Amino acid sequence: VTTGFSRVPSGELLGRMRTVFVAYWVVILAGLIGFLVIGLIGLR
Amino acid sequence: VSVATKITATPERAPNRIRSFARENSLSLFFGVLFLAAVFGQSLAGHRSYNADLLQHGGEAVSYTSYLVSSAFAQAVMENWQSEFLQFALLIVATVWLVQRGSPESKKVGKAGLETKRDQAIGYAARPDSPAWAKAGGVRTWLFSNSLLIAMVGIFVASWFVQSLTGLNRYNEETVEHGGSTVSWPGYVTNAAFWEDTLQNWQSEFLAVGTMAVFAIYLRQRGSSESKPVGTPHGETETSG
Repeated sequence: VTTGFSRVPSGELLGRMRTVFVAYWVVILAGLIGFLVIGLIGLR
Repeated sequence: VSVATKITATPERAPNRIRSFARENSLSLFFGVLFLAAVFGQSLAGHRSYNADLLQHGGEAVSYTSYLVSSAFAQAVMENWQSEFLQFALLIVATVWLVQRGSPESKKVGKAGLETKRDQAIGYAARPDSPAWAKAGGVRTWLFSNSLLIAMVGIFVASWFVQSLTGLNRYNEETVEHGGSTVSWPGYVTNAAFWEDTLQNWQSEFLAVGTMAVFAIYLRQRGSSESKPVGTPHGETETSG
């Protein structure tokens, strides 16, 4: 299956969008978890 | 065999793949790079300012890496994250039920509410190419139907909580420095300092979102998906350029 506006197979297009989606989640979770650990260590 | 299928069979070369990846995701890549640059800049400026404050109070300067893992830096970042994610969470949920005639941020006046399954292409009304959880029904469709809001609220609550922890550490460090006594977490989250840090961020977000919704009734940006097309009448809702 191909999309109407691109020569790239739709599965590959979805994969590329998923890369960006996952990258944003990684940055956000890394920030939240990293700063949470800093906060918890600071409480001691 | 269609032309499209023939083209699919020819694999893209690497430079083309990178170029098309950048073109198809330019908005997220642009903001991702801006975010990384801004947070790096914040860390550099924050380090200088933090050390200047320490030296002024007779303390010793800390290294850049020590500042990166300090509650001061963490609180400064989290304080802004929580308000941004709250802003979008509220915008997502408010635009289900509330409308602004003429605003491209809003649905049409009569369409307030969750809308029908047919409108939303879920359950029996799903399209063959709809995401699997839109078709599944039950809890999965409910979860997927609210997944954007759940994600944004989750990040808001988590970053606000981390702001409260790191803010507490920072507050207690400063209090001890000035000879005061430390407070507990419940004491801090009911303290004026915590609410000042929180509300100073919220007020600007709420004003900006409201302004965007109202300004976009009468003002335009040609070509922007945040704006109505330039020639659209002011009273027309739910159209974007």
